Amino acid sequence: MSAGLATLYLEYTPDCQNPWHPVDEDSLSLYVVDLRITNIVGVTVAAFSENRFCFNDARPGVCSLSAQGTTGLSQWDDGLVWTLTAINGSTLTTDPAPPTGGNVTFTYTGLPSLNSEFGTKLLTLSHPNIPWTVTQEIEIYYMFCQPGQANWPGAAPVIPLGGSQPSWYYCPTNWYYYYSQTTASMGCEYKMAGSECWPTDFPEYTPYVGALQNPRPALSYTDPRSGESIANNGDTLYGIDCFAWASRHEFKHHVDYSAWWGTTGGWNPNLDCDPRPPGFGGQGDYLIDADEEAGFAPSAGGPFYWWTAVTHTSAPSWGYDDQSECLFSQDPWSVGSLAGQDWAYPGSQWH
Amino acid sequence: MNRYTSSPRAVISVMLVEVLLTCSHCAASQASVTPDEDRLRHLLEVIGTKAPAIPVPKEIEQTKDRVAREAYWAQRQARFAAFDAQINAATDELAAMGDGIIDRLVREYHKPVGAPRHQIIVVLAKIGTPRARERLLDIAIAKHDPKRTSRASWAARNLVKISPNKEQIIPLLKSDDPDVISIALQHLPGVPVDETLLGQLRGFLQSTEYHPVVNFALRMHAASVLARDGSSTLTAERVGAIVDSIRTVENMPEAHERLQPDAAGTLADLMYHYLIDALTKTEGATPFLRDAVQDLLAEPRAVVVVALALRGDSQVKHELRQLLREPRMVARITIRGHAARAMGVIGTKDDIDFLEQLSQDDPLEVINFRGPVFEMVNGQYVNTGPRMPPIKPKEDPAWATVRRSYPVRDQAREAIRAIQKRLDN
Repeated sequence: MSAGLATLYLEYTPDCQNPWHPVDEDSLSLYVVDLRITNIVGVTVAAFSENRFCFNDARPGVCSLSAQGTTGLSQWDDGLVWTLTAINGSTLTTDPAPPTGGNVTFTYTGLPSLNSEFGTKLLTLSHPNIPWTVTQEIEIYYMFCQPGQANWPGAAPVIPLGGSQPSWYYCPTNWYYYYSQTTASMGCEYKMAGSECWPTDFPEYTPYVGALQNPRPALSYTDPRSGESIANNGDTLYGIDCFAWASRHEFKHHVDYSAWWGTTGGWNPNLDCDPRPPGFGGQGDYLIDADEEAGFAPSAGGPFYWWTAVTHTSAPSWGYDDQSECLFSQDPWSVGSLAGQDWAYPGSQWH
Repeated sequence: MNRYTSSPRAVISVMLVEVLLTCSHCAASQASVTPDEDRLRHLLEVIGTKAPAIPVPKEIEQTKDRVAREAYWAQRQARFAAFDAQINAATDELAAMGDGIIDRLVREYHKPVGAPRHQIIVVLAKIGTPRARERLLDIAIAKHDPKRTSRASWAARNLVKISPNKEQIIPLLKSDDPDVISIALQHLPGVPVDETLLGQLRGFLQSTEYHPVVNFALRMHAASVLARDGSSTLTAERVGAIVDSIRTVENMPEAHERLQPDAAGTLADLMYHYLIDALTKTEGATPFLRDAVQDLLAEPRAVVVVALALRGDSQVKHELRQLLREPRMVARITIRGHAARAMGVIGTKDDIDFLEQLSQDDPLEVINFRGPVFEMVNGQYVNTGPRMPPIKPKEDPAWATVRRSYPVRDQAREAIRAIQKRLDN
């Protein structure tokens, strides 16, 4: 039945055996309504798709969407009433205000401080003469963003180490700020230039994450000697999974270097003499030579060889033995497990 | 009987009928409510609870006091662990209800508002029965969501974990979501490859759609499935499918861009690495590769020559040596790295001088800043591009501790060692 004017006919038949002779009949006219949200589109957004909307990279960030609805009776549509769940820490405005009528625009201004404030919001449509409400789930995201684009609350230009001028490029990105609020984080600090943890950074061995590649390609390597594979072998990672993987990787370097060199006063070339290519000076793979053959189980990529800095010669090029050890023995990440908390676009939930 | 014409009253009357019907339906449902139903509702509510977001306080972010940092992180982990324990307990209790709640879970999953879909998938996986697996498969291969939602791939990940055998993973390949296909392929190596599966794999080995990273994964995993079929059936076809993939690597979108900043080589270079690996592991491939190489030129020919050498075919040694000195191929890090390694497999004492020379003057250099990895040929950067951060200026302190290496020279030295070991024996 379509919306509009309709007629309901009623017949009263007391004699069930003789239905062809109704004793009374009547009809009534009524309006059939069809309360519907007909369309939702992004107005000022970085991206939208179906019912997903992403804050743009303005400071403060803006996420504005337009919704259209109807009762099916054009003369009633002015009375439509809309609501949209607020985001704590973001200002929600509407046009018109209050949000009534067949076409309204909702605008969130400013990203919230809590990651959990992004995500599912309820858009509702009602009418004073209609005793039910129509609801639609929508999802609100923030920009994963590149260095220089951060717009989380409190984001500000940062003076880099050794620099003199504050620059947006050194401000932690949105993904770092929001992913750090979840169990994906291992407490690594942010570094614009990339994820790293230096074996020469005694005694802190500070782990950093930065410049995430999203998605991170699936790399795969199985040690032909043992059949053991690197952690997350063959996984393609998106968004929070990239962050969780990189955080676990750098944190494992931090744990390793602290264990290997934390008690020897830092990296010691007398204990680590693996030859590197001639002509470059230097030596070593940051594993203690005496431990290389017996100190690492196959699950950690061992045994390693003290006479070369690159034991895994058939692996894709990724560095020396300390890197291989880390790739094998870092905590494997359960890919997809935190997708429900990943509100970055592009991220693990929307890409 | 009165005739009603007043429209609002008429609307409300009709609505009241509807409300009454709805209410009587609810009443009927409630009549059959058991204590388990109440519990079920409660558990569904628990698994839908939002995880706490715990921002890192500014003072912790900035402190260099290691003890304070560690204490904060321990406390934070404990809060997350308490939350996880609550969700896991509810998930386990739901799963223990078994097949009896599957239909209810599926209804809940499809509720338009407020469904804890992510965790329902976990419950289905924990139930793990054939019916639960069927429902997971439904979610995983449902017509692909243009929003690229992760739910299909999350269902696929959970399904592969509980599938009692690899054959049950094959239906995931029907999905039109490349992430789901990639997950399935990743878990398929070892499954016998029949004509039907071979046909599907051929398609994935030519992937060029959507995103270069995803295409890369599809080709890599599909090649691995073909290589690790331990049967001796369809060997020519399996080898042919991998060789056909090699022929089109250069046509992949962004083939000449870095695949990622912290692994040397372009997307094509790393793709060749995995395709060489697959050809090296495919049992009985040598005669078919010898045939295939006749029609190939440039990189595809080089890749097959290297694979033959790694399989121990000394007939290709002359070409392998040419390849290692070919100026046009000098930046192809994985092909040349494997070529030098292959000299260790088929080389003899006559090759040691050649390898000695290579180990001293090969121009391909890798500069590893522990984050980004740069490549140089004769002092000129190669394979830079949009995926690489800017090259660090010479005054950057990172240069003091940079790791520099010559990967082809390294492999040449390994090859000499391997040859000498054979001679000693």
